[in-house]
Amino acid sequence: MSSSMTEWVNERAPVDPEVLKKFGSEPVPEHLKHWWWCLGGTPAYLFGVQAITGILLAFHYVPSADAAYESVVRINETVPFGWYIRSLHRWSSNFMIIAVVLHMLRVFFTGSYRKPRELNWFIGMGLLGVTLMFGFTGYSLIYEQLSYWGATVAGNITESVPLVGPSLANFIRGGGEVGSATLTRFFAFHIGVLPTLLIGLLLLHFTLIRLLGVTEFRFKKSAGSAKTFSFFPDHVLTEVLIGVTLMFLMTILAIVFPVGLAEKANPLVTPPHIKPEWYFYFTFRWLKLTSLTFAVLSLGLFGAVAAAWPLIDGAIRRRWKDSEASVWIGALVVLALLALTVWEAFVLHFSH
Amino acid sequence: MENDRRSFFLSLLTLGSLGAGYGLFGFFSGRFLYPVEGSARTAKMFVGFTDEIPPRESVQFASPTGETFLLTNTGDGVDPYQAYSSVCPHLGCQVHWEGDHQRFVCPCHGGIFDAAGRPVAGPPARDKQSLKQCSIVVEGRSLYALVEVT
Amino acid sequence: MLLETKKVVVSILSLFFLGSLLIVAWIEGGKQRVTAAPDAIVTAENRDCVDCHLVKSPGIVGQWQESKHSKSGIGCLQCHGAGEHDIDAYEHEGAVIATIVSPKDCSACHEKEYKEFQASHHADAGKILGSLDNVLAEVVQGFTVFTADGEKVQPSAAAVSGCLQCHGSEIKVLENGKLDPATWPNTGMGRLNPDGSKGSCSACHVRHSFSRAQARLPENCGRCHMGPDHPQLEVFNESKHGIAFAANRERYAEAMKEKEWVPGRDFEQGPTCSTCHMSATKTLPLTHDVGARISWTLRPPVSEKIDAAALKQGRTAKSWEDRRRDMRLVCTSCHGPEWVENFYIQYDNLVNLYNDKFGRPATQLFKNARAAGLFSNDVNFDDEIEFTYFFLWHHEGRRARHGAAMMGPDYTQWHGLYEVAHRFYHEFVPQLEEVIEHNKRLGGDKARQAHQVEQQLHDVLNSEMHRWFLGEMSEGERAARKRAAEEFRKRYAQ
Repeated sequence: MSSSMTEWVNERAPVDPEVLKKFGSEPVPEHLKHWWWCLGGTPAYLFGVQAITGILLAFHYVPSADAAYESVVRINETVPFGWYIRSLHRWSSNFMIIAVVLHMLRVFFTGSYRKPRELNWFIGMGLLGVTLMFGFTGYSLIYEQLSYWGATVAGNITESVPLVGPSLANFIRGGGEVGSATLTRFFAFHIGVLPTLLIGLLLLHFTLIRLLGVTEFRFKKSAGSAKTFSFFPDHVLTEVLIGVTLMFLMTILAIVFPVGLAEKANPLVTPPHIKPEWYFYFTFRWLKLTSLTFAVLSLGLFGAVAAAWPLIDGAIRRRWKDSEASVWIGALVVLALLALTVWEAFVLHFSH
Repeated sequence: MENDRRSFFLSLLTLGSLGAGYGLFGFFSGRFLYPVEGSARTAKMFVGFTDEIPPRESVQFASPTGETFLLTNTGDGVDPYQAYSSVCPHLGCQVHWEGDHQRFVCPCHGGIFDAAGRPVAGPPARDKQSLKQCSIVVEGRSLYALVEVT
Repeated sequence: MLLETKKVVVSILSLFFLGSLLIVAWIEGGKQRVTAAPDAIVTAENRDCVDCHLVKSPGIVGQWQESKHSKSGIGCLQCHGAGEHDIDAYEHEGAVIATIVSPKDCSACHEKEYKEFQASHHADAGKILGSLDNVLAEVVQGFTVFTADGEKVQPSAAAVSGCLQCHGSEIKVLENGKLDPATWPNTGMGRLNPDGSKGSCSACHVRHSFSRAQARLPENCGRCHMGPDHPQLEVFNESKHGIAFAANRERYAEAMKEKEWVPGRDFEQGPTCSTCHMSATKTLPLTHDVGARISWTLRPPVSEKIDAAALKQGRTAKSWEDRRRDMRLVCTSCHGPEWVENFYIQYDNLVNLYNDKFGRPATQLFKNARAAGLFSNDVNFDDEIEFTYFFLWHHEGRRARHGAAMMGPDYTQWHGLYEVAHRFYHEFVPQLEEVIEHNKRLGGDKARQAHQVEQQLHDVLNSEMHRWFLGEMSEGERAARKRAAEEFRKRYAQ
């Protein structure tokens, strides 16, 4: 019975079972048995969680300035399990950003961005940018005071970008000010543009990984040929494990720290302390330490340098063979970013 | 052999537990998506005063969602005030109340309903379609209808 | 990790995940589902009114949307719709309406409240036209213009903007259906409406929200029941009841919106005016007859029990004992019976003290002097003694009594009897003596009558309560006072 069904399918979707088997049992280098190395699948899984919880939320959320906040209140208070799905969505977004950053750190500090994987690094930077934009647009959709004013500040910062600033800001905001048009736009970005970009980039990312293979290492300890294990079921099960652990963790967090709601956005009243989400603390602190234009330009430069790092690192290593300058520079940058973030968090939470 | 069986068993357990966990999550999502019960909100809407509707007369009223109803005073002692949708279930024409005959009549194809909205003649009788009832609340001399608001 | 171990770990973690989801389900089950507050229903006939007035007078529409009426589709025409032959009806944008919604209009649905209110003293508030207060407003402070036949042509602004705003005007409908500005706007408690009904429901139930919570606030009654001549609001605020309410009013805000707000059941302290004077308690039904639980009338120069006037006129009325019994039922929602019993003893004693020491003597002296023509008795308030006497009973005397009635001791004492005493001994008595002297000098009949009044005054001042003024005191009391004064001096070393 099942074999005739398989035959029926095979005649219409001719997939070579051998190719499938080969695909599924791609040998995965042994070192991936260490958790530090599984951080790529983690944000991908969390994106899946976001997509599902996000679609669920979209059934109840209304992207209009009059109704957005109330629809979120409704989700929290009236819709069955609304508080849970929403809290999951929020916690998962935080975890996704953390996971992306950790994955990036792993890739960076193991030099896995080097030739021939430079392209994948660029794509990864794109994925990072998209993820951060997800966070920003998503948070603005709630239309709390901080959403509104955060978006206003972001709009003003965008305006300071030389040449394209004002038009870019207008495009993102849907006008000169944050309002209903902004909400509609952010919603389109959040559930349309950004997911499409992310999936596209992800496909490219995965394809390149499959084409180039996972970076293999020559560890001092293991001489000879590197050991491998199979993708399915071993590595898959590792990823499943991570997935289930995350679901459990995030559910507990949703129970103990459910996501609440602050005041509704009021264009006439600016709250005394505007702050962005935690992943933008470093930019916020940098902005406070320097001027607007300088901050925008320097952060832009920083982003460009980070994106182009494989090329820069390549140039360094051509000049000084086997230089591990990247590691030192990377460590400094991480410390600096961490310091800025912690400083801002400290100031925000302890002096007000 | 033993290993295979154990391995199979473990796989079953793994899949089972995963299924249970994610399955319950899926159930929650289903509940989340399904429209909330009673979210079609009903309200008690004032229609008029009892002394404004003599026995065997009727008065038409509309709910906030635009549904039209006929409130009739059947003249019966116990529960004289009744309300039914004035939309004929056959093809949607407006029915009218004939107090003398204690019946609703649809002019389009001759559908006739008794005082309780049950079809007695015409296409609605053939298809066994009644007039939708609307609950009436009487408080003192005020008449309220329980109508859908959204 | 071995594959098999991994499978076990995955299974265990899945079960943890399942467990956490069960906690989620448990929390969900225990949650109170918040259903959104119902919206206002705008029925077809009111649609036009609402659409236009949303632009012209959004406040009114907003008030109505807050009301319970709006949730049932009871809107503009249900209340303002008028019969074509109604005296105050007029045509407005295709509808026949009347501006004033009288208690009779409200009685279409609120019949019980209407009946209770019409029978109450509140509904009679507009009947002050013959009172001294009215003389003050129309003659002494103000200016009223009459025709030769005695028709009022131009009312006194003092009355229109003052007295009648609380007491209620007599609504006059002009020829074009508009309302005479001398009589409208007015939501006085005893307003005389074109349809013959008395009063104004919106005196207490502010339109168009008609909020219960608002009607239960002390500030609501305090719109009228305040001020030097009847400071009920001030007395309440001073009292422990008022303090208890002030301390808890935020906590009570939601509960006060409910249909019933029963002391002892829905809240445990801090009753407001409506609680004692009107509200349903565990044992009493709600009443809109605000006098139903009051035993004394504190209004007149000499207080009497509240049913005395009716009995004198041969009418039947709820006895003062029954009214006090009902008030006691309210008190015992929170207080013990001994507390209540003793309070009434204290209260009665204070009223009697005022009556016996000041109210009755001053009134007798004043009336006798007036009747004898010792000062002009054809015009009120042209002699200073008339103002003095008025202040004594109408302002300070009332304050003292109200203070005792509602446990505001400062009003009983410093705003009350202290000022009564000062007024009596250092203004009323000297002024009376002056009047007496003046008339004695005139000689003849006037002098004889002046002597009579003088004798009466002498009797009053020599009575037990007043002889201290003449320096006389019983030996026992004198000694006791001397001892007490010395002890006091020693304590304060002054």
